[in-house]
Amino acid sequence: MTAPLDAPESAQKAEPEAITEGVRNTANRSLRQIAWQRFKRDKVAMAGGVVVILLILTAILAPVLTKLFGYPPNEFHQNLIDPLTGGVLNDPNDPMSGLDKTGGISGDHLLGLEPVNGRDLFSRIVYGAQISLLVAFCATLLCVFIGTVLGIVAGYFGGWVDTVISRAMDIFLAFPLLLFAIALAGVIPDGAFGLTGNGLRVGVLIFIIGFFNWPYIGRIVRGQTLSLKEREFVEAARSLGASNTHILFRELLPNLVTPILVYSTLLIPTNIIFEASLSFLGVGINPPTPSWGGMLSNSLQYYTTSPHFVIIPGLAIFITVLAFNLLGDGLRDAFDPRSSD
Amino acid sequence: MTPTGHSAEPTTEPVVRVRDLKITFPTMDGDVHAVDGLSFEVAPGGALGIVGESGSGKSATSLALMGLHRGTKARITGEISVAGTDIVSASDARIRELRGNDIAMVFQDPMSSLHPQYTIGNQLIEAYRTHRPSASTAEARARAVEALERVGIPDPAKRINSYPHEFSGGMRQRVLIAMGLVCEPKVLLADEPTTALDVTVQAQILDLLEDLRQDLGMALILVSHDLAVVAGSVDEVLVMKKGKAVERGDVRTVLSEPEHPYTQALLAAVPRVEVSRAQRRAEIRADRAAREGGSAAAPQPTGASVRPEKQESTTPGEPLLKVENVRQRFKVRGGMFGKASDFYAVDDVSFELYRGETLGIVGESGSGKSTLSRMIMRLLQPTEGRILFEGRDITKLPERQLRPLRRDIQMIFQNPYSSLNPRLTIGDSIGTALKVQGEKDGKLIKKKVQELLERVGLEPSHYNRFPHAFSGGQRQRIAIARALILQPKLVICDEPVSALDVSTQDQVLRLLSELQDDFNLTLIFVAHDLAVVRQVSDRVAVMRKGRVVEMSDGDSVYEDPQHEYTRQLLAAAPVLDPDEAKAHRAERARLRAEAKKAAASEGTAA
Repeated sequence: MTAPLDAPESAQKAEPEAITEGVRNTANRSLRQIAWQRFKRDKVAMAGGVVVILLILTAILAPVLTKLFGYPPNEFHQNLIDPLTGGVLNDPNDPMSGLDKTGGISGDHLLGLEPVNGRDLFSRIVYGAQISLLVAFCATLLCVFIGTVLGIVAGYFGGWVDTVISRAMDIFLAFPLLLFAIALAGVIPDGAFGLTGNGLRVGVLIFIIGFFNWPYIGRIVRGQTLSLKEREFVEAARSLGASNTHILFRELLPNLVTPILVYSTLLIPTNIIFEASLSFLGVGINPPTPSWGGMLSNSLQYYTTSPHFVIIPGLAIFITVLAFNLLGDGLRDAFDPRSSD
Repeated sequence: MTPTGHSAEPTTEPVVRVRDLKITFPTMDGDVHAVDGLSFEVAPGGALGIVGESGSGKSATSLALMGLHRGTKARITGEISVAGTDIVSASDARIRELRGNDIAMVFQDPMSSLHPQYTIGNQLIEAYRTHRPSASTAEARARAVEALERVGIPDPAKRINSYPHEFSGGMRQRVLIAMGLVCEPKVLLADEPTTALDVTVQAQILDLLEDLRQDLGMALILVSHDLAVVAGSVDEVLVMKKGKAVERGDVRTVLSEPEHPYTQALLAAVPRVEVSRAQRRAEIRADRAAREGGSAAAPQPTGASVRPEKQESTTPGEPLLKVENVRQRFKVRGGMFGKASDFYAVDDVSFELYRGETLGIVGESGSGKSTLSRMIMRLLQPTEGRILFEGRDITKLPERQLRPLRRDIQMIFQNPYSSLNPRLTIGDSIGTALKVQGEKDGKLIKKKVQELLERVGLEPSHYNRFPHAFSGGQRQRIAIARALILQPKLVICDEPVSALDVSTQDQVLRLLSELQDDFNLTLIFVAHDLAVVRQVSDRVAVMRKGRVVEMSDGDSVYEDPQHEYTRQLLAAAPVLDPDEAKAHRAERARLRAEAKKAAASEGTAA
C-alpha cells in the first residue's frame, strides 16, 4: 500500500523501493524496552536492582524469615549474656568463659545477639528493614506526589503561579529540617489521628520527610515541564482543543515518568538515611520496635565489648543506600538517550 | 558503478582519494553499514558534490575524511588519502596537523558550531595558532581579520571582538567558513552548509564558496540532500544511497541524463519554481488516475466526487476566512539595545480566503509567517485587527468557546520530530482529537484512526507503535492524519516539509494535494521554499518583516514579480540547471551591487 502511493512514476517501475521510507526494524520496541536492554547490560546497576528486590522481599517476609532463621525480635536471651559487661559469652554455661569476639554469631543466631538483653540481631535487622523501607517508600511517594503536581503546574502555567510555587520551594529547601523534626517529634502526643505509639510516629516521620523533601522532585519536574511545553506536540494538543488538564496529565506527565522514576530511586536512600538519623537521635521510632538508626544509637555504648552491634546495622544501612543509588544511576543511564549504549 | 570516464588529469595527483571505503557502526541490533564500498577522488581545485537522503552515509563519509571517527566504535576499512596522508593509518598527531591545514570542515548548524563564550576572534586566532605555533598573536590576528574580510563580514577589524550570539545565522556560517580558511587548506569540506539557512542567505553562502574556490584554488566537497543546492557549485556529482554510490559523473551529464533510476527519482522530486500549480495538479491527478485505474479493485476513498473546476470560479459568496489588519506585538526586553521596545512580528496584514482555495505564504525566518498562522489558529491572540471565520469574529473568543472551532481549523506543524508526543502511541496521538471533542466510543475512535492511517499511506497495524519507530516523512503523515481526523474546513500547514529530505518532501506534497481533492480542503501553506509554495498555491503572499509585500495569484508572482524583495527571493532559489544557476549567480551579484549602491540601509546582509 505504501510503495505505490509514494514512489514517483519513474522510480516505481525501475525500483519499487528506491525512494520510499520503510518502517525501521526496531519499530516494535518501545522506549522502555530499549531502556531495559541497556539496563540489562549494566552489571553494577543490575546488582543494585537485585539487592533492592531482595531487601523488599526481606521486609515483606520478615515474619516468615524470623520464624525460619531466628527468634522473635523482642525475645530476651539473657542466659547468653555476661551480666557484668553486657557482652555475649563464649560459653553460656560458664560465666567465666570470656566474651565472644563475633558477638555470638552462630548457626543459631545468624547475626549474633544484642548486648545486655540478648535479643536476636538477625530478627531485629529484618524487622528494622520493614520500618526503614516503609518510611522511606511512603515518604518518597509523598514527595513525588506533591513535587510532581506542584512542579508541573508551576512549569506549565508560569507567571505568578510559578513565582509562588518556586518561592515556596526555596523556603522549604532553606528550612532547618533536622531541627524542626527533632522539635516536632519531641512534642508528639501518644495518640492522635486514630493512631497510637509507633504507628503515629511512623506516620509523623513519613509526613515530615515527605513534606519537606518534595522541592527536590518539584524542581526537576518544573524544569522538564518548562522545556517540554515548548515542544510542538503541546501546541498541537492545544490546537485540537485539549484542555489544560488534558495537556498536563495526558500529554506532559507521560514524558515526565522517566525523570520522576529515576529521581525517586535516588531519593529513597536519602530518606532512609534521614529516618535512620532521626531514630539515632532518639526522635524516630521508639523502642522496643527495632529500627536501624535506633540500633546504631544504642550500639555506641558497647562498641568496645560488642563491635558487631555497631557494624551490622551500619552495614545494613550502607548496603541498602548503595544498592538504591546504583539502581538509580543505572536507570538514569538506561533512560537517558544521550548516554552511549 | 556508473561510468565515470572523467578522472583527474594524469599530471595532477588527486588531493582526496577514497577507495572502497566501508564504515560500520556496531549497534544493539547488529552492525549498520553506513558506508559500503565507496570510491571517489577530487582533483586539486576541483569540486565534488555528494548527494543523498538522510541515512545514505554522506555525513559518515565526510566525518571519515576528517578522521573524526577515531576513538569511536565505528570500524573503517578501505583507503582514505587526503593530501597524500592515509587517514586510516596515520598517527593522531599527524591527523591533528592535517585538520585545518590540509582539509577543513564547515558544519551544518552554524548556531551550535561556534563556542558561545569566546569572541570569534579568539576562536579564529586559536585555529590559526594551533597550526602555526610560531606565529605571533598579532600576526594571527591579522590573518583572522583577513579571513573574515574574505568571507564578507563587514568591518572585520571591529567585528572580530564580537561574540557568536551577536551574529545572524548566515553571518555565523561565514565565520565558520573563515575559520576553515584561515590556514588555507587544500580541501574545504562543507556538510550541508546551508540547510539551516534561508534561501537568500543560502544563495549568498553558495556564492561565497564558489568565489573562494576560484580565488584560492581550494578543492570543495559539498555534501547536501538537495541536488539543486549542489548543481550550481560543483563540477562532479556523486549520488549516494544506502552507503553506496549509485551514480557519479560530470554535473551536467548527471542532471540532464541521469542513468540510475534513483537519481532520476531524486531529480523528479526536486520542486521546480518554473512548474505552475495547474501543471503540478494535473500531473498528480493523472498519476493517481493511472494508479487507481491500474488497480481497479482498490475502492475509491471518501469524498470521491472531485470538483477540479471549482477553483477556477472563485469568489463564491462569503469568504471562509477573513483577516483584517491584524498585528501582533511582542515586547523586546532591553538586552543589547538597552531600552525595552515594541516589536511587531506581524504588522497590518489583511487577506480573504475562499473555500477550496490554497493561499501560499512565503517568507524567510523572522518574516512573521508562523506568527500569522498561529494567530489564525488562535494559539496567539492578535494585538490588533480582526479574524473572521465563516463570518464570525473569532479574534477574542475565550479558550472554552474556541473548542468547537478547533474542529474546523487545524494545523500541521513544521517539525514532525517534536509535534508528536514521544510517549503516546500514534493511535493515541491521532485519536486524542476525537476524545477531546467528546467522542467516548473507543472502538469507533480506533476504527476511524485506522482508516485515516491507511489513507495517508501507513499501515493500520501501526496504531500501537510509538513515533520513534517512524522516519521523518512517515511522522509528517501521522501529523497530517491528526490534523484531518476532525474533518476540518481549513488546514494551516506551517512549513510542513521543510524538515524533510527532498524526496520525502515530494511524497508528502503529493499526499496533501490528493487529500485536498478528496476532502475539499482549504489550505494555508506557509513555507520558505518558493518552488514548493508555487506548486501548491492558488494565490501567494510574500511576507517580509511582518508585512505582506506582494500578494496575487501564484503564477503572476513568479512570472512577473512586482516587488524588489520578491525578485531577490526568486534569484536566490536554487535551480537544477548548472548554466541557469550561473545566470542566477550573476543576477544576484548585480542585485547585491545595486543594493550596496543604494546605501547601507538594513539591507539584505542577513
